[in-house]
Amino acid sequence: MLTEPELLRIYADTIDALYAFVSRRCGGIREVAEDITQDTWLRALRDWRAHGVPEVPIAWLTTVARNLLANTYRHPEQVPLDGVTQERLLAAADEQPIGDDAGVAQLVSYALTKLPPAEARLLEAFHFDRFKVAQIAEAYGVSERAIEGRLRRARERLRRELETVLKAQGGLA
Amino acid sequence: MIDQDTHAPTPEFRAALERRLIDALRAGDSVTPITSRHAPRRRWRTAAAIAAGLLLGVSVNFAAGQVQQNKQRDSVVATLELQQQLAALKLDLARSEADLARRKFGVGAVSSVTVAAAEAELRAREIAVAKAALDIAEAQATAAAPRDEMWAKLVNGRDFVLERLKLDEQSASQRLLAAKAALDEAQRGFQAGAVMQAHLTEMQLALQSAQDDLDLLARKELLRRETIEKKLHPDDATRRLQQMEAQSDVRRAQRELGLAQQRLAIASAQLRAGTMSELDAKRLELNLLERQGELAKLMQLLKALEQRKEK
Repeated sequence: MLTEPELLRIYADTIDALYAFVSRRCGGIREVAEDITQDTWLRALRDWRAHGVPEVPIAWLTTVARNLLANTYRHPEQVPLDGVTQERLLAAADEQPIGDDAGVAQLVSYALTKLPPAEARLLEAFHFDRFKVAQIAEAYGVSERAIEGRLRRARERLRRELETVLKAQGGLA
Repeated sequence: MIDQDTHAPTPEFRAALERRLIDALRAGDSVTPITSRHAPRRRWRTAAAIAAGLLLGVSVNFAAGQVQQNKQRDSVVATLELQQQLAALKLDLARSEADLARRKFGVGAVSSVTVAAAEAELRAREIAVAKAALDIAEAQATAAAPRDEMWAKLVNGRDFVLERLKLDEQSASQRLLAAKAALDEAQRGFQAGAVMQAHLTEMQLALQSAQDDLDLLARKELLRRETIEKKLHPDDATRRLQQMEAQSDVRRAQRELGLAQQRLAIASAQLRAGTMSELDAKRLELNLLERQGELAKLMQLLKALEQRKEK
Protein backbone atom coordinates (compact mmCIF):
# COMPACT_ATOMS: atom_id res chain seq x y z
CA MET A 1 0.00 0.00 0.00
CA LEU A 2 1.48 3.34 -1.07
CA THR A 3 1.22 5.92 1.72
CA GLU A 4 1.42 9.69 1.40
CA PRO A 5 4.71 10.04 3.31
CA GLU A 6 6.22 7.34 1.11
CA LEU A 7 4.93 9.04 -2.03
CA LEU A 8 6.32 12.40 -0.89
CA ARG A 9 9.69 10.88 -0.11
CA ILE A 10 10.04 9.05 -3.43
CA TYR A 11 8.81 12.07 -5.32
CA ALA A 12 11.35 14.34 -3.63
CA ASP A 13 14.13 11.81 -4.25
CA THR A 14 13.42 11.22 -7.93
CA ILE A 15 11.71 14.20 -9.52
CA ASP A 16 14.92 16.03 -10.48
CA ALA A 17 16.56 12.95 -11.94
CA LEU A 18 13.44 11.90 -13.83
CA TYR A 19 12.85 15.37 -15.24
CA ALA A 20 16.49 15.67 -16.34
CA PHE A 21 16.30 12.22 -17.95
CA VAL A 22 13.26 13.24 -19.99
CA SER A 23 14.42 16.78 -20.69
CA ARG A 24 17.77 15.71 -22.15
CA ARG A 25 16.02 13.32 -24.51
CA CYS A 26 13.62 15.94 -25.82
CA GLY A 27 16.25 18.63 -26.12
CA GLY A 28 15.02 20.69 -23.16
CA ILE A 29 11.57 21.37 -24.67
CA ARG A 30 9.83 22.20 -21.42
CA GLU A 31 6.26 21.43 -22.42
CA VAL A 32 7.24 17.96 -23.67
CA ALA A 33 9.41 17.27 -20.63
CA GLU A 34 6.66 18.36 -18.21
CA ASP A 35 3.94 16.35 -19.95
CA ILE A 36 6.01 13.18 -20.06
CA THR A 37 7.25 13.56 -16.48
CA GLN A 38 3.69 14.10 -15.31
CA ASP A 39 2.32 11.21 -17.32
CA THR A 40 5.07 8.95 -15.97
CA TRP A 41 4.23 9.83 -12.37
CA LEU A 42 0.48 9.39 -12.85
CA ARG A 43 1.14 5.94 -14.28
CA ALA A 44 3.46 5.19 -11.38
CA LEU A 45 0.76 6.13 -8.92
CA ARG A 46 -1.79 3.85 -10.55
CA ASP A 47 0.63 0.95 -10.79
CA TRP A 48 2.23 1.30 -7.36
CA ARG A 49 -1.11 1.60 -5.65
CA ALA A 50 -2.14 -1.70 -7.20
CA HIS A 51 1.15 -3.61 -7.09
CA GLY A 52 3.33 -1.88 -4.54
CA VAL A 53 6.40 0.32 -4.91
CA PRO A 54 9.21 -1.24 -6.98
CA GLU A 55 12.56 -1.88 -5.38
CA VAL A 56 14.27 0.88 -7.37
CA PRO A 57 11.61 3.52 -8.15
CA ILE A 58 13.83 5.66 -10.37
CA ALA A 59 14.54 2.67 -12.61
CA TRP A 60 10.82 2.04 -12.96
CA LEU A 61 10.14 5.71 -13.67
CA THR A 62 12.86 6.09 -16.30
CA THR A 63 11.76 2.92 -18.07
CA VAL A 64 8.19 4.20 -18.33
CA ALA A 65 9.41 7.66 -19.35
CA ARG A 66 11.57 6.10 -22.07
CA ASN A 67 8.55 4.25 -23.47
CA LEU A 68 6.46 7.41 -23.42
CA LEU A 69 9.24 9.29 -25.20
CA ALA A 70 9.42 6.52 -27.77
CA ASN A 71 5.67 6.87 -28.34
CA THR A 72 6.06 10.62 -28.73
CA TYR A 73 8.83 10.28 -31.28
CA ARG A 74 7.64 7.16 -33.03
CA HIS A 75 6.46 9.04 -36.10
CA PRO A 76 8.81 11.34 -37.99
CA GLU A 77 6.02 13.83 -38.70
CA GLN A 78 5.85 14.46 -34.93
CA VAL A 79 9.46 15.57 -34.87
CA PRO A 80 10.07 19.26 -35.60
CA LEU A 81 12.73 19.74 -38.24
CA ASP A 82 12.81 23.52 -38.28
CA GLY A 83 16.26 24.92 -37.76
CA VAL A 84 18.09 21.58 -37.80
CA THR A 85 21.00 21.44 -40.26
CA GLN A 86 22.18 18.29 -41.96
CA GLU A 87 25.70 18.76 -40.61
CA ARG A 88 24.59 19.15 -37.01
CA LEU A 89 22.27 16.18 -37.23
CA LEU A 90 24.84 13.83 -38.70
CA ALA A 91 27.45 15.09 -36.24
CA ALA A 92 25.18 13.69 -33.52
CA ALA A 93 26.06 10.21 -34.74
CA ASP A 94 29.75 11.00 -34.26
CA GLU A 95 31.62 10.73 -31.07
CA GLN A 96 30.63 13.78 -29.09
CA PRO A 97 27.58 13.83 -26.80
CA ILE A 98 24.57 15.73 -28.09
CA GLY A 99 24.55 19.38 -27.06
CA ASP A 100 21.53 21.40 -26.12
CA ASP A 101 20.10 21.49 -29.62
CA ALA A 102 16.43 20.67 -29.16
CA GLY A 103 15.81 19.72 -32.79
CA VAL A 104 18.79 17.39 -32.97
CA ALA A 105 17.97 15.79 -29.61
CA GLN A 106 14.41 15.07 -30.69
CA LEU A 107 15.48 13.63 -34.04
CA VAL A 108 18.04 11.40 -32.34
CA SER A 109 15.31 10.27 -29.90
CA TYR A 110 13.18 9.39 -32.90
CA ALA A 111 16.04 7.52 -34.62
CA LEU A 112 16.78 5.60 -31.42
CA THR A 113 13.27 4.11 -31.48
CA LYS A 114 14.32 2.37 -34.73
CA LEU A 115 17.43 0.76 -33.22
CA PRO A 116 17.62 -2.53 -31.32
CA PRO A 117 16.96 -1.73 -27.63
CA ALA A 118 20.45 -2.72 -26.43
CA GLU A 119 22.15 -0.39 -28.91
CA ALA A 120 19.69 2.38 -28.17
CA ARG A 121 20.44 2.13 -24.41
CA LEU A 122 24.15 2.29 -25.07
CA LEU A 123 23.82 5.37 -27.24
CA GLU A 124 21.48 7.01 -24.75
CA ALA A 125 23.97 6.47 -21.96
CA PHE A 126 26.69 8.08 -24.05
CA HIS A 127 24.83 10.84 -25.88
CA PHE A 128 22.14 11.92 -23.41
CA ASP A 129 23.37 10.86 -20.00
CA ARG A 130 26.94 11.76 -20.90
CA PHE A 131 28.55 8.77 -19.29
CA LYS A 132 32.16 8.18 -20.17
CA VAL A 133 33.19 4.98 -21.93
CA ALA A 134 34.95 3.84 -18.76
CA GLN A 135 31.76 4.30 -16.70
CA ILE A 136 29.64 2.43 -19.23
CA ALA A 137 32.21 -0.38 -19.37
CA GLU A 138 32.11 -0.66 -15.59
CA ALA A 139 28.32 -0.71 -15.54
CA TYR A 140 28.19 -3.40 -18.23
CA GLY A 141 31.07 -5.34 -16.68
CA VAL A 142 33.08 -5.44 -19.89
CA SER A 143 36.26 -3.82 -21.15
CA GLU A 144 36.37 -0.27 -22.47
CA ARG A 145 37.54 -1.65 -25.78
CA ALA A 146 34.42 -3.81 -26.02
CA ILE A 147 32.20 -0.80 -25.30
CA GLU A 148 34.01 1.29 -27.88
CA GLY A 149 33.36 -1.45 -30.45
CA ARG A 150 29.67 -1.65 -29.56
CA LEU A 151 29.36 2.12 -29.60
CA ARG A 152 30.95 2.30 -33.03
CA ARG A 153 28.51 -0.22 -34.46
CA ALA A 154 25.54 1.46 -32.76
CA ARG A 155 26.64 4.86 -34.09
CA GLU A 156 26.83 3.49 -37.63
CA ARG A 157 23.29 2.25 -37.30
CA LEU A 158 22.15 5.56 -35.82
CA ARG A 159 23.79 7.40 -38.69
CA ARG A 160 21.92 5.25 -41.21
CA GLU A 161 18.64 5.97 -39.44
CA LEU A 162 19.34 9.69 -39.43
CA GLU A 163 20.21 9.58 -43.13
CA THR A 164 16.90 7.84 -43.75
CA VAL A 165 15.13 10.72 -41.98
CA LEU A 166 17.04 13.19 -44.16
CA LYS A 167 16.10 11.35 -47.32
CA ALA A 168 12.46 11.09 -46.31
CA GLN A 169 12.30 14.81 -45.65
CA GLY A 170 14.22 15.73 -48.83
CA GLY A 171 17.14 17.26 -46.96
CA LEU A 172 17.14 19.79 -44.17
CA ALA A 173 17.75 23.46 -43.69
CA MET B 1 22.68 27.41 -26.09
CA ILE B 2 20.36 26.50 -23.32
CA ASP B 3 21.22 27.28 -19.71
CA GLN B 4 21.89 24.63 -17.08
CA ASP B 5 18.42 24.96 -15.52
CA THR B 6 16.82 23.73 -18.74
CA HIS B 7 16.98 20.17 -17.53
CA ALA B 8 15.64 20.98 -14.06
CA PRO B 9 11.90 21.17 -13.30
CA THR B 10 10.53 24.59 -12.42
CA PRO B 11 9.42 25.01 -8.78
CA GLU B 12 5.88 25.62 -10.05
CA PHE B 13 5.82 22.36 -11.97
CA ARG B 14 7.35 20.41 -9.07
CA ALA B 15 4.81 21.74 -6.60
CA ALA B 16 1.83 21.34 -8.93
CA LEU B 17 2.65 17.75 -9.81
CA GLU B 18 3.23 16.87 -6.16
CA ARG B 19 -0.12 18.37 -5.27
CA ARG B 20 -1.86 16.44 -8.06
CA LEU B 21 -0.29 13.18 -6.96
CA ILE B 22 -1.34 13.67 -3.36
CA ASP B 23 -4.86 14.57 -4.43
CA ALA B 24 -4.96 11.49 -6.65
CA LEU B 25 -3.67 9.25 -3.88
CA ARG B 26 -6.25 10.60 -1.44
CA ALA B 27 -9.04 10.30 -3.99
CA GLY B 28 -7.96 6.76 -4.79
CA ASP B 29 -8.17 7.64 -8.43
CA SER B 30 -6.20 9.18 -11.22
CA VAL B 31 -6.53 12.90 -11.91
CA THR B 32 -6.68 15.25 -14.80
CA PRO B 33 -3.23 16.37 -15.82
CA ILE B 34 -2.11 19.84 -14.70
CA THR B 35 -2.40 21.05 -18.25
CA SER B 36 -2.75 19.33 -21.54
CA ARG B 37 -0.53 21.70 -23.43
CA HIS B 38 1.48 19.14 -25.29
CA ALA B 39 0.04 17.53 -28.34
CA PRO B 40 2.23 15.68 -30.80
CA ARG B 41 4.09 18.37 -32.72
CA ARG B 42 3.28 18.43 -36.40
CA ARG B 43 5.53 19.80 -39.01
CA TRP B 44 2.72 20.94 -41.25
CA ARG B 45 0.27 23.18 -39.53
CA THR B 46 -2.95 24.76 -40.71
CA ALA B 47 -2.44 26.17 -44.18
CA ALA B 48 -4.61 29.16 -43.36
CA ALA B 49 -2.46 30.03 -40.40
CA ILE B 50 0.69 29.87 -42.49
CA ALA B 51 -0.87 32.04 -45.14
CA ALA B 52 -2.10 34.53 -42.56
CA GLY B 53 1.32 34.60 -40.93
CA LEU B 54 3.03 35.30 -44.26
CA LEU B 55 0.53 37.96 -45.23
CA LEU B 56 0.77 39.74 -41.95
CA GLY B 57 4.52 39.53 -41.98
CA VAL B 58 4.76 37.73 -38.66
CA SER B 59 6.43 34.40 -38.10
CA VAL B 60 4.63 31.23 -39.10
CA ASN B 61 5.30 29.76 -35.71
CA PHE B 62 3.66 32.71 -34.02
CA ALA B 63 0.56 32.42 -36.22
CA ALA B 64 0.36 28.70 -35.60
CA GLY B 65 0.81 29.32 -31.89
CA GLN B 66 -2.05 31.81 -31.91
CA VAL B 67 -4.31 29.34 -33.68
CA GLN B 68 -3.40 26.66 -31.20
CA GLN B 69 -3.99 29.02 -28.28
CA ASN B 70 -7.39 30.06 -29.62
CA LYS B 71 -8.37 26.44 -30.19
CA GLN B 72 -7.31 25.57 -26.68
CA ARG B 73 -9.21 28.53 -25.22
CA ASP B 74 -12.37 27.55 -27.13
CA SER B 75 -12.05 23.97 -26.00
CA VAL B 76 -11.49 24.83 -22.32
CA VAL B 77 -14.28 27.42 -22.29
CA ALA B 78 -16.71 25.01 -24.00
CA THR B 79 -16.05 22.40 -21.31
CA LEU B 80 -16.50 24.94 -18.54
CA GLU B 81 -19.71 26.24 -20.09
CA LEU B 82 -21.12 22.73 -20.02
CA GLN B 83 -20.24 22.51 -16.35
CA GLN B 84 -21.91 25.86 -15.76
CA GLN B 85 -25.11 24.65 -17.45
CA LEU B 86 -25.08 21.58 -15.27
CA ALA B 87 -24.52 23.73 -12.18
CA ALA B 88 -27.46 25.93 -13.23
CA LEU B 89 -29.73 22.88 -13.55
CA LYS B 90 -28.71 21.71 -10.09
CA LEU B 91 -29.42 25.20 -8.77
CA ASP B 92 -32.96 25.11 -10.18
CA LEU B 93 -33.52 21.77 -8.47
CA ALA B 94 -32.13 23.03 -5.16
CA ARG B 95 -34.33 26.13 -5.38
CA SER B 96 -37.45 23.98 -5.86
CA GLU B 97 -36.46 21.76 -2.95
CA ALA B 98 -35.84 24.76 -0.67
CA ASP B 99 -39.28 26.19 -1.59
CA LEU B 100 -40.89 22.85 -0.86
CA ALA B 101 -39.08 22.56 2.49
CA ARG B 102 -40.23 26.07 3.50
CA ARG B 103 -43.85 25.27 2.58
CA LYS B 104 -43.74 22.00 4.52
CA PHE B 105 -42.23 23.81 7.50
CA GLY B 106 -45.12 26.33 7.28
CA VAL B 107 -47.65 23.54 7.86
CA GLY B 108 -45.51 21.77 10.45
CA ALA B 109 -44.61 18.81 8.25
CA VAL B 110 -40.82 19.22 8.62
CA SER B 111 -38.48 20.75 11.20
CA SER B 112 -36.38 23.90 10.90
CA VAL B 113 -33.37 21.61 10.44
CA THR B 114 -34.74 20.40 7.10
CA VAL B 115 -35.25 24.00 6.00
CA ALA B 116 -31.74 25.00 7.10
CA ALA B 117 -30.25 22.02 5.24
CA ALA B 118 -32.22 22.84 2.08
CA GLU B 119 -31.14 26.47 2.26
CA ALA B 120 -27.52 25.47 2.76
CA GLU B 121 -27.79 23.26 -0.32
CA LEU B 122 -29.38 26.10 -2.28
CA ARG B 123 -26.60 28.48 -1.28
CA ALA B 124 -23.97 25.89 -2.22
CA ARG B 125 -25.56 25.53 -5.66
CA GLU B 126 -25.68 29.30 -6.15
CA ILE B 127 -22.00 29.43 -5.30
CA ALA B 128 -21.22 26.58 -7.71
CA VAL B 129 -22.78 28.62 -10.51
CA ALA B 130 -20.81 31.71 -9.48
CA LYS B 131 -17.60 29.65 -9.40
CA ALA B 132 -18.31 28.26 -12.85
CA ALA B 133 -18.63 31.83 -14.14
CA LEU B 134 -15.29 32.69 -12.51
CA ASP B 135 -13.66 29.67 -14.13
CA ILE B 136 -14.93 30.73 -17.54
CA ALA B 137 -13.65 34.28 -17.05
CA GLU B 138 -10.23 32.93 -16.09
CA ALA B 139 -10.09 30.50 -19.01
CA GLN B 140 -11.03 33.25 -21.43
CA ALA B 141 -8.24 35.40 -20.07
CA THR B 142 -5.54 32.72 -20.03
CA ALA B 143 -6.59 30.24 -22.73
CA ALA B 144 -5.91 27.50 -20.19
CA ALA B 145 -7.77 25.58 -17.52
CA PRO B 146 -8.37 27.59 -14.31
CA ARG B 147 -5.59 27.27 -11.75
CA ASP B 148 -6.26 26.96 -8.10
CA GLU B 149 -2.80 26.62 -6.61
CA MET B 150 -1.85 28.97 -3.80
CA TRP B 151 1.02 30.27 -5.91
CA ALA B 152 -0.97 30.71 -9.13
CA LYS B 153 -0.24 34.11 -10.67
CA LEU B 154 -2.75 36.93 -10.84
CA VAL B 155 -4.53 37.11 -14.17
CA ASN B 156 -4.50 40.66 -15.52
CA GLY B 157 -4.36 41.85 -11.91
CA ARG B 158 -7.32 39.70 -10.89
CA ASP B 159 -6.97 37.13 -8.13
CA PHE B 160 -9.21 34.26 -9.20
CA VAL B 161 -7.85 31.97 -6.49
CA LEU B 162 -8.87 34.39 -3.74
CA GLU B 163 -12.27 35.02 -5.34
CA ARG B 164 -12.97 31.29 -5.37
CA LEU B 165 -11.88 30.97 -1.75
CA LYS B 166 -14.30 33.73 -0.76
CA LEU B 167 -17.14 31.92 -2.48
CA ASP B 168 -16.19 28.70 -0.70
CA GLU B 169 -16.23 30.65 2.55
CA GLN B 170 -19.81 31.78 1.93
CA SER B 171 -20.85 28.20 1.30
CA ALA B 172 -19.05 27.01 4.45
CA SER B 173 -20.78 29.71 6.52
CA GLN B 174 -24.13 28.44 5.34
CA ARG B 175 -23.19 24.86 6.23
CA LEU B 176 -22.14 26.07 9.68
CA LEU B 177 -25.58 27.66 10.20
CA ALA B 178 -27.27 24.41 9.13
CA ALA B 179 -25.06 22.41 11.51
CA LYS B 180 -25.95 24.77 14.37
CA ALA B 181 -29.65 24.34 13.65
CA ALA B 182 -29.22 20.55 13.60
CA LEU B 183 -27.36 20.60 16.92
CA ASP B 184 -29.99 22.82 18.57
CA GLU B 185 -32.69 20.39 17.58
CA ALA B 186 -30.63 17.39 18.73
CA GLN B 187 -30.08 19.06 22.11
CA ARG B 188 -33.80 19.67 22.51
CA GLY B 189 -34.50 16.04 21.58
CA PHE B 190 -31.87 14.80 23.99
CA GLN B 191 -33.29 16.84 26.87
CA ALA B 192 -36.72 15.43 26.09
CA GLY B 193 -35.27 11.90 26.03
CA ALA B 194 -36.07 11.41 22.35
CA VAL B 195 -32.48 11.43 21.09
CA MET B 196 -29.54 9.19 22.03
CA GLN B 197 -26.26 10.59 23.36
CA ALA B 198 -24.39 9.23 20.32
CA HIS B 199 -26.63 11.20 17.95
CA LEU B 200 -26.08 14.36 19.96
CA THR B 201 -22.32 13.80 19.87
CA GLU B 202 -22.52 13.28 16.13
CA MET B 203 -24.27 16.62 15.69
CA GLN B 204 -21.64 18.29 17.89
CA LEU B 205 -18.93 16.80 15.73
CA ALA B 206 -20.68 17.95 12.56
CA LEU B 207 -20.75 21.48 13.97
CA GLN B 208 -17.05 21.33 14.85
CA SER B 209 -16.24 20.05 11.38
CA ALA B 210 -18.21 22.86 9.77
CA GLN B 211 -16.37 25.37 11.98
CA ASP B 212 -13.06 23.74 11.05
CA ASP B 213 -13.85 23.99 7.34
CA LEU B 214 -14.57 27.67 7.75
CA ASP B 215 -11.37 28.25 9.74
CA LEU B 216 -9.35 26.38 7.15
CA LEU B 217 -10.74 28.56 4.39
CA ALA B 218 -9.90 31.69 6.36
CA ARG B 219 -6.34 30.44 6.81
CA LYS B 220 -6.10 29.61 3.12
CA GLU B 221 -7.17 33.14 2.31
CA LEU B 222 -4.42 34.52 4.53
CA LEU B 223 -1.88 32.21 2.94
CA ARG B 224 -2.98 33.23 -0.53
CA ARG B 225 -2.58 36.91 0.31
CA GLU B 226 0.82 36.27 1.84
CA THR B 227 1.93 34.21 -1.17
CA ILE B 228 1.11 37.05 -3.54
CA GLU B 229 2.35 39.90 -1.34
CA LYS B 230 5.59 38.26 -0.20
CA LYS B 231 6.08 36.25 -3.39
CA LEU B 232 6.42 33.01 -1.46
CA HIS B 233 8.23 30.17 -3.18
CA PRO B 234 5.68 27.71 -4.69
CA ASP B 235 7.20 24.85 -2.69
CA ASP B 236 6.76 26.80 0.56
CA ALA B 237 3.21 27.84 -0.26
CA THR B 238 2.31 24.26 -1.15
CA ARG B 239 4.00 22.86 1.95
CA ARG B 240 2.16 25.29 4.22
CA LEU B 241 -1.15 24.53 2.56
CA GLN B 242 -0.56 20.81 2.92
CA GLN B 243 0.28 21.29 6.59
CA MET B 244 -2.92 23.26 7.17
CA GLU B 245 -4.99 20.62 5.44
CA ALA B 246 -3.25 17.80 7.24
CA GLN B 247 -3.77 19.50 10.63
CA SER B 248 -7.45 19.92 9.82
CA ASP B 249 -7.67 16.27 8.73
CA VAL B 250 -5.98 15.16 11.96
CA ARG B 251 -8.48 17.12 14.08
CA ARG B 252 -11.35 15.60 12.14
CA ALA B 253 -9.91 12.09 12.49
CA GLN B 254 -9.42 12.62 16.24
CA ARG B 255 -13.04 13.63 16.64
CA GLU B 256 -14.24 10.66 14.60
CA LEU B 257 -12.09 8.38 16.72
CA GLY B 258 -13.65 9.85 19.87
CA LEU B 259 -17.12 9.21 18.46
CA ALA B 260 -16.21 5.64 17.50
CA GLN B 261 -14.90 5.02 21.05
CA GLN B 262 -18.09 6.41 22.54
CA ARG B 263 -20.25 4.25 20.27
CA LEU B 264 -18.26 1.18 21.15
CA ALA B 265 -18.60 1.87 24.88
CA ILE B 266 -22.38 2.18 24.49
CA ALA B 267 -22.44 -0.96 22.35
CA SER B 268 -20.51 -2.93 25.00
CA ALA B 269 -23.14 -1.99 27.59
CA GLN B 270 -25.93 -2.90 25.18
CA LEU B 271 -24.23 -6.20 24.38
CA ARG B 272 -24.07 -7.07 28.07
CA ALA B 273 -27.74 -6.12 28.41
CA GLY B 274 -28.59 -8.28 25.40
CA THR B 275 -29.97 -5.39 23.33
CA MET B 276 -27.27 -5.53 20.67
CA SER B 277 -26.03 -8.40 18.54
CA GLU B 278 -22.40 -9.49 18.63
CA LEU B 279 -22.14 -8.84 14.90
CA ASP B 280 -23.16 -5.18 15.29
CA ALA B 281 -20.73 -4.78 18.18
CA LYS B 282 -17.93 -6.26 16.01
CA ARG B 283 -18.75 -3.79 13.25
CA LEU B 284 -18.34 -0.93 15.69
CA GLU B 285 -15.06 -2.41 16.89
CA LEU B 286 -13.84 -2.60 13.28
CA ASN B 287 -14.91 0.98 12.72
CA LEU B 288 -12.86 2.02 15.73
CA LEU B 289 -9.79 0.22 14.39
CA GLU B 290 -10.23 1.90 11.01
CA ARG B 291 -10.45 5.32 12.64
CA GLN B 292 -7.29 4.57 14.66
CA GLY B 293 -5.48 3.51 11.48
CA GLU B 294 -6.59 6.59 9.63
CA LEU B 295 -5.49 8.87 12.43
CA ALA B 296 -2.07 7.19 12.61
CA LYS B 297 -1.65 7.63 8.86
CA LEU B 298 -2.58 11.29 9.01
CA MET B 299 -0.27 11.93 11.96
CA GLN B 300 2.56 10.33 9.98
CA LEU B 301 1.81 12.55 6.99
CA LEU B 302 1.68 15.66 9.16
CA LYS B 303 5.01 14.76 10.71
CA ALA B 304 6.55 14.24 7.27
CA LEU B 305 5.22 17.60 6.11
CA GLU B 306 6.50 19.38 9.20
CA GLN B 307 9.95 17.92 8.69
CA ARG B 308 10.22 19.32 5.19
CA LYS B 309 12.49 22.29 5.08
CA GLU B 310 11.59 25.74 3.95
CA LYS B 311 13.10 26.91 0.66
